[in-house]
Amino acid sequence: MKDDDYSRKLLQEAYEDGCRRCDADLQQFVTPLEAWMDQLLQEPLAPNWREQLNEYLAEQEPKGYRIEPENLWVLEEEILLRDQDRRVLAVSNRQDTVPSRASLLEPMDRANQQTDGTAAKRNDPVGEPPEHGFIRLPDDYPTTARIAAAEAWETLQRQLMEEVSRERTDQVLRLREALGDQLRRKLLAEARVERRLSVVHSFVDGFVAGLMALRAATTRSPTDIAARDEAFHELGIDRSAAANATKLAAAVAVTAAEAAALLVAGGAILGPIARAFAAYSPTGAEVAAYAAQGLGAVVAGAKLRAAQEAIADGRTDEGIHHAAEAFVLAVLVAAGPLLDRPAAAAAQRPRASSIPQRLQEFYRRLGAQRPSSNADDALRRINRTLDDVEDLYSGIPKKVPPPPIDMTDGRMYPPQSDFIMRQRDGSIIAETRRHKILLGSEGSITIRITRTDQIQFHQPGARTSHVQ
Amino acid sequence: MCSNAQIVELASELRNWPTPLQIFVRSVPSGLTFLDVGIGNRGFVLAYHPKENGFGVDEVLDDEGFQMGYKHWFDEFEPAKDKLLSMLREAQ
Repeated sequence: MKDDDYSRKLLQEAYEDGCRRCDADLQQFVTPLEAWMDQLLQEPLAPNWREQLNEYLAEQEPKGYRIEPENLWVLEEEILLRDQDRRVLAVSNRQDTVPSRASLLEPMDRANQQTDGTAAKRNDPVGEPPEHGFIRLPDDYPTTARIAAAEAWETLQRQLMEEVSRERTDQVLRLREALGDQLRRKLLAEARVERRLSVVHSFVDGFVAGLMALRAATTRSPTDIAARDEAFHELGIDRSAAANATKLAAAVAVTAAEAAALLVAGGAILGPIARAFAAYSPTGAEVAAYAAQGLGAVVAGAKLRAAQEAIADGRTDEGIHHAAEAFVLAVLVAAGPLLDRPAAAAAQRPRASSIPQRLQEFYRRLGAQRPSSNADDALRRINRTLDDVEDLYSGIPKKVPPPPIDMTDGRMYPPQSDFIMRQRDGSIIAETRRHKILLGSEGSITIRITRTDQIQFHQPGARTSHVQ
Repeated sequence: MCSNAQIVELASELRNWPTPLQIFVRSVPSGLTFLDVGIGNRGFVLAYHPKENGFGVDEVLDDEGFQMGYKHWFDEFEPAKDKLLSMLREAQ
């Protein structure tokens, strides 16, 4: 069986299954509705029958069945027609009742019937006012006239029944269409998903079988050949499908080779970039790593969509090729961090969150930067680096200007201008509640703990390494 | 008496504290002044912030970074001083 035929068969089966389920589901609503209507029409329609109908439909809504307001009239028409049927049949079952010609001209005259179902008084000289709007003929009415009247009634009744029946059929069809439209759409959507899943399952089965075929073709081992044949037999794959599976495996292999080449080339380019970023800013390395992963994921996703569309459109070979590319790319995206160690190390470094961790990260970044050649540059570097660390790890947005001293927000802020003292020799001293920051005129940075005078961080300046 | 002078005077008073204290006074031209007091292995600070024109009092913990706020904030010097002294007494 060709792939196209196979896909078409799957589609047809899915569609037919969807229709069957649609009808079965719809029946769960229609059958009780029919029973309810039968119960309603046991007696002449009550004045509030529309309210009863609305109440019944409201009870069905939680079960998932709903008639759109614009379609409600179809159901109401159906009930009115059945009410007419009931009255006509009730009359025809009365063997002892033969209507007059005059009454036959308006057998559905509801004006003659009161809302409680009893007959209304009418000024008819012939006899008692009958039920259902028809007039009983007097017993002494001429026999020929009775026969003629009976024949006329039968003819008219047949015509009426045909008319009613035709209308009823139309009404029922319209009703079912209105009721089932929404449900059918839902079930067809489900069927569409199932169809796609079955296509994917077929693809996976074919992929596995193709790998086995490739292995058998490579090793020519009787065991591998037997395994391949068994797999094909279990899947019901004939020779053409097997050829496709082999072609698929070959496509996977080719795509893997292409992707590997791309990875090598990408690694050659991205590796040094990531390392350069890492030297300057670990955040940059993380960004590079995430960007590479993100790019791979986006391309894999696009390939998968292309595969789905191609398979849905019947372009099976093209779909298989896209799916194979998506598969290999997804594997590479997952394995990428393992292959790109510098970026992976940066990406997997534990995220600091507490103040000591953030302080440690601040010192680490500061020490990794190129030393400054003057105090102002060192101060700028401190401010920028502390902001970077806090932006990434504190989870507290920076406020400009910083919050008042009596309303701190938990974020570390660089020393403000009123905390700074500029010395005549070009050096700068910044005081904080725990630290004294000494920025030498040659660009050195020394951060001491005030109470213990312990040096917590030191970086020599670009022009000297003297510690003050 | 200006705030800086009050802090310097408090530093002098603390030199007569029953137990040995480590006392440092730091100030910058803006008027910002810190009185650092160490007792045992703990540290406390009373700071005058001219921009906010108030006094912050807090314990300085070993794991803190470049925070700016204080646990206790006073508009006047005397209650800030009392708070610092009570914290020192508790730390004895």
